[in-house]
Amino acid sequence: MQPRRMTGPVLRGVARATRAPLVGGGMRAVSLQLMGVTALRRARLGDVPPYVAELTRPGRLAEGEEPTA
Amino acid sequence: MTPSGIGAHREAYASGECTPVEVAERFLAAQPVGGDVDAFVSVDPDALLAEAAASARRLRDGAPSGPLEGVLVGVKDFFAVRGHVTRGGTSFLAGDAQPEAELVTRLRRAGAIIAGKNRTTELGLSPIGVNPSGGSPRNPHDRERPCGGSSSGGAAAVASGMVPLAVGTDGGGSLRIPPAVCGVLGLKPTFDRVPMGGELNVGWWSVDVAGPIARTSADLAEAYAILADVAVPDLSAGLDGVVVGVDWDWWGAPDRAIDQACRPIAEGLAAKPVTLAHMDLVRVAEYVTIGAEVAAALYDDLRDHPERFGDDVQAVLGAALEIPAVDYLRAQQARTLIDRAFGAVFAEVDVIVSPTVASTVPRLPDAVWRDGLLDEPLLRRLTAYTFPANLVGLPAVTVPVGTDADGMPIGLQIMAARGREDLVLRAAAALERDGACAVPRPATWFDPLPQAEGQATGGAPEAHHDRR
Repeated sequence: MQPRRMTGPVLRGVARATRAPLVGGGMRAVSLQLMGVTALRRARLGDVPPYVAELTRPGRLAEGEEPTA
Repeated sequence: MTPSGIGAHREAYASGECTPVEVAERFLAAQPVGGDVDAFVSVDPDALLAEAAASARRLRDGAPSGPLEGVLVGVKDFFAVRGHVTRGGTSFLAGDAQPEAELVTRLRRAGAIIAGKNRTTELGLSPIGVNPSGGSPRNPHDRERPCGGSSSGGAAAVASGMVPLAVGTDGGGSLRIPPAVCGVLGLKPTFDRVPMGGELNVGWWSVDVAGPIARTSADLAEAYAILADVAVPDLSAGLDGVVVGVDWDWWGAPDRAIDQACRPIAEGLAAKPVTLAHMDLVRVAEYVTIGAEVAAALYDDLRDHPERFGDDVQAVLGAALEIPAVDYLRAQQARTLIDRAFGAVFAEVDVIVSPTVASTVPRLPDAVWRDGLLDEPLLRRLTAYTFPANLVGLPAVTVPVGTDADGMPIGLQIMAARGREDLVLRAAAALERDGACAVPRPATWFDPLPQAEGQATGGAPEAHHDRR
C-alpha cells in the first residue's frame, strides 16, 4: 500500500516504482484510488454532457467600433 | 493607504520622495534570488535598472505610460518575459523569452517594471510549495514553512514587501492558496478573462487562469483591470444589495483557528445558508482533469526522460498517465453537474464565502525541502475549497482575516458567478473597510519605499527578521 505522506527515500522509491511496467501497475492503481476515481465510477452521471469551458474574455471595443445591443 | 501599495508608490514618485531607480535598487538589495525569502528564480539587474531609469525619466517629464508607472511587478515563471528563460518550476523545460506574454505587454503598457520571474512549484502541481527541482521560496511569516503553491514566489514577494504586485496562475487554487498562506490578497478571475498567450504549455488547459496578487483590494482591482483590459471595478458600493451565501456542509471542519477566524465573518455578513449539490465529485473531477491534461502535455518528456522531473511529480504523473479516457470524460460530465449546482445557488445569492484553505502549512525539516514532499492529506486540506472555481470557471478572491496561534495567516475565500469579479472585489474592499481583512506584517519584511518606516531616502532596505 502506498503511504499517503512521502518524502526522501520512500518518495524516491515510489517515483521509480511508478515507472516500472509491472510492479508499477499496482502502484499506479493505488494512486488512482487516492485520486478518488471510485467515486467518479460509482456516480450516476446519466447522459449529462461533458462540461465545455465558457469563453468570456471581454476585451475592449476598438476605436470607432460600435457596441452590439 | 498601505505603505507598500501601488498608491503609495505613485504618491512617493509624484512627491519626489523617491524614484523608480531607488525602489529598484532597494529591491535588488533585498536579494530577491537566493535571499531569506528567495521569491524569485531570475532577476536581470542591469535590465531592471535600465527600465527603472527610463520610468524615472517619464515621470520626471510628466509623461507616465500608465497607472503602474514605476511599479515593480513579479511574474510567475510560466510567462514569457524578455531576458528570462521560462522553466515552469522545472530544472529542464525552457520556453522562449519572446514574444512576451500578452499580459506582460499589458503590464508594461501600463508603466509596470517587470522585476523578475517568481518561483513556482514544478509544473504548478504542488499546492504545498516545496520544489526541489526549481527552488522553494520561504514563507515570510516563518522561514521553516512553505508558501503554498503554485504561485509561491509571487505571494512571498508581495507578502515580504519586495514588490506590491505579482501575477500568477491558478489551475486548482494557486492564486488563492499561496496568498492565504502568506497573508495577502489574490484574485482568480473568471476562466478566459485574462489572455494566456505566452504561457508555457504544460497542460491545465481547461482550468487555468492568470491573475494578480496584492496587498490591498484596490491594488488587486487595478491590476485585474489592466490584465483583463476592462474598466477598474468600482469598489465603493461595498456589500450594499449583495446577498452572501454559505454552505455549512461544504464548510466542514477546517483547522480550529481557521474556523474561529472565518465563521464570525460569515455570520456577521448574515450569510444565507445554501446547499451546493455534487460537491462529493469536486476533488476527483479536478484530480482527473488536471492529471490527464498535464500528463498529456508532458507525455513525451515523461516517456523519454522521467528522471528529469522531481520525485513527487514522477509519482503523481506516473499515475496520471493511467487515467482512462472514460474517467476523463466522466470528470467533465461531473463538471457539468457542479456547474449546474453553482448556477442554482447563484440564483439565490450573489457571493459564496468559505475559508480559503482548511489547514495552515506545517514547518518542514531540511530533508523535505531537499527531497520533496507528497502529502495527500495536506493536499486535500489546502485545496478543500479552491477546486470548484477552477472546474466551472468562477472568479474568487482570498483575503487575509487573521492569524493562528503561531502567527500564520488565515484566508477567507469569496466566490461569485462567472464574470462578476466586481462582486468579489467589492466584498474584499468591504471587509477591509470593516477591519475584518488586514494584511499581517510578516517576520521577514523589506520596506519597498525609502520613506516607509521613516527611513532615509535611497538606502538599502532593512530586512526585519523575527525568526520563529
